[in-house]
Amino acid sequence: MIAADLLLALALLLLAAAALLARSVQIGSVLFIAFGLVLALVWVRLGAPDVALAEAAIGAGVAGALLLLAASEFESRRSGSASARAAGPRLPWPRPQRSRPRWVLGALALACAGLLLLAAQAIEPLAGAATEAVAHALPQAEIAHPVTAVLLSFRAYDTLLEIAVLLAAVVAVKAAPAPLQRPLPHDPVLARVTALTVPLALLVAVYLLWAGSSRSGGAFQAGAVLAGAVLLARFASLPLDPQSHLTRPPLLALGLAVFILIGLGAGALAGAALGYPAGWVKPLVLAIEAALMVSIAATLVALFGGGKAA
Amino acid sequence: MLEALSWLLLALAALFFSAGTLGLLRLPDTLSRIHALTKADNLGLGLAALALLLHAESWAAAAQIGLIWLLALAASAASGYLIARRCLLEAHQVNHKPGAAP
Repeated sequence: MIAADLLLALALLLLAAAALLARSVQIGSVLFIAFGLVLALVWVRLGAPDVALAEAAIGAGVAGALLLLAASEFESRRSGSASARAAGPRLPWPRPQRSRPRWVLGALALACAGLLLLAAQAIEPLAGAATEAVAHALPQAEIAHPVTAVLLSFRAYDTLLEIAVLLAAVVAVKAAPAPLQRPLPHDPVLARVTALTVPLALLVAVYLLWAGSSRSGGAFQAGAVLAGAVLLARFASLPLDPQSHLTRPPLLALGLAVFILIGLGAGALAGAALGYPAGWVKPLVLAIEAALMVSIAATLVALFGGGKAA
Repeated sequence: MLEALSWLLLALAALFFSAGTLGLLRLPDTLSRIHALTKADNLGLGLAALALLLHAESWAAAAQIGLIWLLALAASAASGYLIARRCLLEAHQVNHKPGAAP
């Protein structure tokens, strides 16, 4: 298996280099998606299927699609007509006159990589201790899956703040001018295949949410798959959420609101903020994760500029 | 016996994947590349799925492998078609660019 692992690591490095040095933004974006998929395989080999799922769904899927969308936006504005250029989104900041020399950015990136490497070496002994502590405390957590127990019980505060950061990010995105909405041509083949895929994706999203309490899965993966289903339906002009209700502010904030309410309400009963009263952990965690799934999906959809109803 | 058959299928799958990749790298235009890639890779995936079916621990696992193959077939056919369609549309646009009116 060592040979396979070395091959994976080599492929990862080569894909990263190819994505950085690609001729065009499009090719780089496609290579980035391939990079994300290989990275997901690496996570599987490292015994972290939860991270692998998140990487494949968010890192390769959603981020890759966003990059491709941005690349085609740049392309159409560079080669498009003057009217299309004028109608395109205005940047809220002044355009840079001269780009910084690349070697400065390269040196900065290398310095960051060096720092990260040093930091990673410093936390090596702690990682084993954390695994032990989780394994020790898991029976009291009433959640069978250690990753979910860490995310929503032991370190619930971290997750809460992450969701708050997501909400802040999507507020910033919605404040920026929406990209030009081009009418998508109707395509019978795409519509039929999507009509087959979208229900399956919805099923997978709910399954991932439910599975999160006992095996790999959870709100982030489920939310990414749900967002994928909604976006796919939109690209194929299927009438799933035609009014863009999903990206309205109440649903964007639902996850954080439910998390805080349950964290305070149940926490008051349990005697500690973000704690859960004994016997109620699983339903409460599931309720939080369901709300998080909706908000994460809404955030990811909103990133595609679908916030405003056409 | 089963083991040998499974290895044979995997080797065949690898052969088809390699052929598809070779086509992707060496064929001259987008349409022929899609042709090589979708045909060879779908067959390669089918052979790999068949090889794994022989190792399946339960009927449920076997059914899942089969379903995954079917889903990948549908996705691959649809994305191949979409790329080809886009390619044709772009070629059409380039051909008609000199004339201002369509």
